[in-house]
Amino acid sequence: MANKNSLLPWLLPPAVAALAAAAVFIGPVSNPDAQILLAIRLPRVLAGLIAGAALAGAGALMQGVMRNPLADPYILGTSSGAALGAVCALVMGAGYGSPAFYAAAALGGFAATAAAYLLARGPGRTPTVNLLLSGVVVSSFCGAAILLFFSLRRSESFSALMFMMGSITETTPAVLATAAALFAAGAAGALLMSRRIDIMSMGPEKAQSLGVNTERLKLSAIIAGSLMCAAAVGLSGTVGFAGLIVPHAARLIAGPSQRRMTAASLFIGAGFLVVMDSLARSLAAPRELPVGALTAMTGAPFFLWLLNRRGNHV
Amino acid sequence: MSDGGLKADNICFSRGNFSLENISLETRCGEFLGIAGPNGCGKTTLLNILSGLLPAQRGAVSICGEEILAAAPERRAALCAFLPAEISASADFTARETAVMGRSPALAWWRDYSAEDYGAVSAALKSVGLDAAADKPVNFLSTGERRKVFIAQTLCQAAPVLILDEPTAHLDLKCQLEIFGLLRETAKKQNRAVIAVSHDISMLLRFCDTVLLLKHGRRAAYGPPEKAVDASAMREVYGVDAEICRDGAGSLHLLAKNPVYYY
Amino acid sequence: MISLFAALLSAAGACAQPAQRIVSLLPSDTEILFALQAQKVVAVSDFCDYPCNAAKLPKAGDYYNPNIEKIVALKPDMVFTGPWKNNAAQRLRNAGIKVVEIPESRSIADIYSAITAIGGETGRSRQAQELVKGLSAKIGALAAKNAALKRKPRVYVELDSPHWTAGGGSYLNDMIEKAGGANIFSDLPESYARVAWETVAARNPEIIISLSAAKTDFVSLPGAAGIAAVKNKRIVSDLDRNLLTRPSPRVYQALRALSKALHGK
Repeated sequence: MANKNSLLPWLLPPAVAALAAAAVFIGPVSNPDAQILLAIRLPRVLAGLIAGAALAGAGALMQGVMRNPLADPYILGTSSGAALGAVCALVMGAGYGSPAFYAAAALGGFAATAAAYLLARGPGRTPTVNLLLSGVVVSSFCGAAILLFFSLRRSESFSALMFMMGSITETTPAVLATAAALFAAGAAGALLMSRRIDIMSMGPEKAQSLGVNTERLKLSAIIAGSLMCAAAVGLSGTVGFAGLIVPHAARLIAGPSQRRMTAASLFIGAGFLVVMDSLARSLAAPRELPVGALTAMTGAPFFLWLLNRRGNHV
Repeated sequence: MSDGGLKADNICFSRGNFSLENISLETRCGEFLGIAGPNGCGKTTLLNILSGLLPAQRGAVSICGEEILAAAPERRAALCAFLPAEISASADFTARETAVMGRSPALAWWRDYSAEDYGAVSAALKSVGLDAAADKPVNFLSTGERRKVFIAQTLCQAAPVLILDEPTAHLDLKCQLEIFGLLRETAKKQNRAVIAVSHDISMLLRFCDTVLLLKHGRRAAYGPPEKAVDASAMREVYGVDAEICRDGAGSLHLLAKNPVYYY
Repeated sequence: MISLFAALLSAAGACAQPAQRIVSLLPSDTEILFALQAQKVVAVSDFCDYPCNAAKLPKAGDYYNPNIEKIVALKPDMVFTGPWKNNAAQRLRNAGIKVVEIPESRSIADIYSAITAIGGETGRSRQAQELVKGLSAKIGALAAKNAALKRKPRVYVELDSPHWTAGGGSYLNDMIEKAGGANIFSDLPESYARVAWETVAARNPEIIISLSAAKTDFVSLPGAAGIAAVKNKRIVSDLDRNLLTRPSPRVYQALRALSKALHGK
């Protein structure tokens, strides 16, 4: 159990910077010229950093505000909605990776999250259980719609498969900048909300008596999480597991305080995704593996280990 | 009310078969009110209404002249600190990290706790006897120690009125005496209004300035302990045959004898 | 009983015989059947779209998901399909239907084998022979002309976004080579693989052929400015994907189109 003064969290930023710097030199092309390094690899590493941080930050936020250790950034149906938006864009003729494609994916994600929230809203309150359930409903619905598209328009829909498996494809500087802005806004919000999220862990009664408006906080958290998800989806499609496991690792290193845990998640998520992406483009060179498959394969054993550890400890 | 404190006027509330009727009380800053009554008489509901968590159907509660229901939650937290009977202590915060959350209402939403906040927390933890365990995770503490952490959290919330629901449940005798003494001292020295619910009549007799006995949602007795709590009040409210006596030092004590059955 | 007699006759390669009822579950086989004027195709797969007459026939599922009930209801004499690992073939054989599993064509030469095999099964061996002879002559001439080229331009072909390409083991790779091009990913043994964009950029293709239904905007990709195909605006996106990837008797038209895209003639 890390205490407040532990040095370990402070090692994270330099470690991640080192990983990112190394990752620029890792890839299928063995003697890359400056053009390849600067124009292709560097933006891809940056995209990995931002997407990884965004996913982990959104995951930390959702786990904190829903008080549920199994929450991940897509818990309100965001990933299914984004995938559905992407498939729709492709079927309607947008090119893969075009601005229309990303806009549709982002809008799909927002729409799904908004639908889940509105479905869960009761008179005056939005119970967390309802949010979780409505997220499942929205995910299932979007998933079914995607399958329908796949069966009717197979060739256009196929490209969306890569998007849904999660892969960091090279994008334009405009997309990178937009994603960075969305991420920054969401992450700033998440960090500023941390103190009040800690208070929510004592239950709604005590939280209210400490002046925390739990309903407004939930909505703010969902909005901040959606911004970060939109950033991640634009850069890497829908990568699974990163947003789920990184906050747990962050909690081990930085302790339970939401602010420290979120900050650590941002760094660990960035480093994790950059490493996974380096593997994705190097393991089977010159082929490229979907990074979402790699995050799932590393994530599952880590989660098992974590469960074991918790079982012995409480 | 020039002195500040809490005033409740004719509170009425009903839900299903249960109702609170015409409860009026007043606790000035510097006073310690104890509330007691049999199970199910409405103590917790009354506390929820007094702290603004639950709106009464009729009647008003005001703190320092301000009507508590009209205030925003943030303002309410600055007026009244409330400790429920049960708090879920999830997460692995240390005692210090848990107690400092009491300072949150006074901070703007973008700020973090300051050295001054942590200073207040250290003092509060010391006053409940937890300064040695301040950096232990709350889940490693005993039930009683955990309760003390939350009492410290309530104490360091900067509000003129403190409302505590069974603060000394799960605490051993020495701790009970210490906590009640601490609550009285807080009321007198820090000039705050303290309201506590307890099943322990003896503690209330000894430490409170005023005692309110509730029965079936109605005010059965209200006033200074020696006047409000007498043998007939005990028989009527609790159905218990009891004697109130004074010890050598002048403190009141309750001697419970037998339950009384009416046929 | 009659179908057994017809089967015996077709095995003997007789010229005149009663029409057999044929179901084809692969678009390439359908095109061959129609090119050979085999009689008579009664149902095709969901994806059979050429020639027009074939597209109008009833649909019986496809190679991956055959509609067994519908096929059996049509009472065909034989069904042409690819190699089946499921029990569909067994179920059809149990219903007394002949199932001909023709392996996937990985090269142009494989097409000739497929044409010959289908011709043999349907009693159109003579027509098959003629077709193969004609095709191989024309293709041989074209290939010889292209082989004499001094250099073969480097080609990157994208079958699906993002960056799914045809490897060395694919039919399309054979097509590119016969058309006088050099597939930059011919070193990959498999027929279909996803590659990293930086590898494409490093191998600097001179021509990019985009066959994906969802197009990639190559010009806006990072590092694209350094690629010869982008600099010289040699990005071809109007070729028909089915024509180029389906091993059918239209292979010569496909090669002509590919040749034109690569060399301009």
